Amino acid sequence: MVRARLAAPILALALTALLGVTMSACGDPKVSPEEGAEATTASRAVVEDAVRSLADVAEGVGLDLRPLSGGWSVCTAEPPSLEYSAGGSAKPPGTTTEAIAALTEALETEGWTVENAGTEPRPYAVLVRDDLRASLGESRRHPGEVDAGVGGPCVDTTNEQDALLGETYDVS
Amino acid sequence: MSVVIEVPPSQPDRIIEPEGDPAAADTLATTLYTAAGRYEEVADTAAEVWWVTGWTGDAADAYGEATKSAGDEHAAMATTVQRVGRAVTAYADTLRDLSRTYEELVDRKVSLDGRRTALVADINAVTEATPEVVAALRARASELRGDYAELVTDHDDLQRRVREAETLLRQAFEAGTSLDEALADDGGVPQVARDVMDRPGAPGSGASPEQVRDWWEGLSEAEREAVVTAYPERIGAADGLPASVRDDANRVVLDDDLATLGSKRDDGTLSPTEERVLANAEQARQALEDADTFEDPITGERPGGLLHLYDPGAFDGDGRVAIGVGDLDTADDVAVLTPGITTTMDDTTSYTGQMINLYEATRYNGDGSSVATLFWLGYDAPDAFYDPATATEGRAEDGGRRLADMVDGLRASRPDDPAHLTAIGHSYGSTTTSYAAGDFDLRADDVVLIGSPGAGPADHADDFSVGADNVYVGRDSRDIVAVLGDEGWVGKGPVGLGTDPSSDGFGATRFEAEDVERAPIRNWDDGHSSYLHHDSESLYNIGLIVDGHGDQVNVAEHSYDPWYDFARDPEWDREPSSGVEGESRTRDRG
Repeated sequence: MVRARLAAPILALALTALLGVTMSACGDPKVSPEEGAEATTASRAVVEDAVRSLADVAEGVGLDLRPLSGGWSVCTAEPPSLEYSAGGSAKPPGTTTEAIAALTEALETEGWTVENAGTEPRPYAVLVRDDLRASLGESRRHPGEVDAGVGGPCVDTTNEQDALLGETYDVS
Repeated sequence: MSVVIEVPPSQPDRIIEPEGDPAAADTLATTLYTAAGRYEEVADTAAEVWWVTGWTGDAADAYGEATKSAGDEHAAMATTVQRVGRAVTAYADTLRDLSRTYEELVDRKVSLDGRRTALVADINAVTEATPEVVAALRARASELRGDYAELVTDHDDLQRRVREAETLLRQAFEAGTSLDEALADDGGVPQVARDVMDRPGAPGSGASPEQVRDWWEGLSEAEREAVVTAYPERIGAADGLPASVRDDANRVVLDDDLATLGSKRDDGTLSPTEERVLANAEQARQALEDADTFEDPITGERPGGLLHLYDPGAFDGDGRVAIGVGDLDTADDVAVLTPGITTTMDDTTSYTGQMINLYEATRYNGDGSSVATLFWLGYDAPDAFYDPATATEGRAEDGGRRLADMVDGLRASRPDDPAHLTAIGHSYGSTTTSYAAGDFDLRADDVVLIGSPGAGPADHADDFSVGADNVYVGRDSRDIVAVLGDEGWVGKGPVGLGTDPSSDGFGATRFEAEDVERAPIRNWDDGHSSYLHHDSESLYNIGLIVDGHGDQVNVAEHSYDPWYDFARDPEWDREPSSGVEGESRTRDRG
């Protein structure tokens, strides 16, 4: 009981001190506009290389994912950060379940590691390599097709990178 | 025996194209805004130089009077020219709408003429006019006659709207033609607009959202155009009006700000306050562009963006704004996000991006219902954690009232077609949302609190207007803000903003909301700010709630506080997922 009575004010003080230090500029960008620009350019290049390679691998199992397209989405609003992802979809020669399993297996030989995979409620697979994440599944937009793509990590940005959000890129 | 089948004539003879060039009108409006900016510059300068230190006497007095008078006249002239500029902007927007209608009518006439030609050919080809054949041909002729009649009606309507738009623009010019008119308080305001705003129920008169709606419904189309053009600020902020109307009005003001302040920036005469307003306007423009070009993940169609609230100079320059993704007037499911501390209009694009994420996730895992999501910064969020306003909850209470009023407006604008409405509050915004639902009878169906430092006035989810069964909570175990709320026997002293809504005694449904990239320690960045990140557990579950399927969320165990020790979070050791079907998959990549 004594411990508990002491705990409240101690915890309050500790949290206040901690928050004062860690959140004094909680919503501010963590990078300069120049750093944000460099980071987004670099991340986009890495993701696009990876997704082109993924598309090549997919071709080997009968999936023509091209044309590939990419775009940015918001990770966090405050502090601002963005994520680039790119991909495509293709009608498989057999079932989507078979195609996703075959592509998963082929990607593993290319250095990707399966983080999650399953068939319920729909077939899917999530693979990781370095800080990239490949996502395979049934396309919602194009029923009967396999959707596959690669997402990069969240990149710290500033308002100067906001204009990227509306852009769509032809990756092919 | 001869048979007569009356084939209707092709009508109208031709579809008359609206005259006028929207782009040229935009250019004219920009010129007028620039001119208004010039008048403002003179007025600003006059305000600075009317008093000359050390100069006294009759001459100094005369100089001061003359300078002040000139400043006042230039300020009045700026307002009038600005109003006329807005009338031209609105005319350009109307002209674009009319041009689209014209194109549709042309297509319809081509289609009807094709059907008519086919009917005539089929009649001529008849070799045996049995009663059945004759009846079928007559039915086609009758249907065609009805469709032509409808086309004629719509064509007449188009021509009427063209005339009304031209009349309104002419009236706006005429209301500021003479010097006396131009310097008057209502210079540039057409008489019809003044008359309409004097009627009971007009926005700004203290009328309720329902009264404002009734006022709007009693206006003719020309009167509506007139008030949107002449009083865009009041129409754009009027709870109870259709979201599309508010959007039209707010975009007029936005265009004005961008042009007027942009020209002053070019001249190097922008004040620090105006600089901030212009930055806010540019954020709103960027966010709207993103929302307007966003494509629905299922249909590929563009649901469009809405500028639901636009007041870039409010709250000492922090600004008030609301940006919608999707059609707030018709969507089956509507979500409203209230952000937390440090949020200003500077963050509009990022939060609109999060609304796009939420729209995508809701549709991606949804039941096919239509969706609209709204970023609502309609209150004065505290500036920082160390801002005294953060600890006092006063801003949350005021924001809660404003949020409830805004939702009342949404409800009033759709009396016969209520949406399933979810109010989402993040961080301090969750406390604001809690005040709305706890003290101001928020008319939502579901409430979602994410990253909450406390539920404000509510000790239990039952205290919310939506009832405990419709209160949901997302808390990442590494979220440094979400552990601030009071919890259990120990409590945490005066750090939080009420009860921790994720705790087992609060009575809300806690859903899985761990970030796959979570850090080993509690933090502000990923831990507190990733709740609407794609392919996250949190966004997946919030999407289900917005879609009206809160009963299908992946439930997480509540945090709890053993009497002998600090609070525990069972989610701390659970392995989170990303992109997993049924857990955290929220979009296609392709």
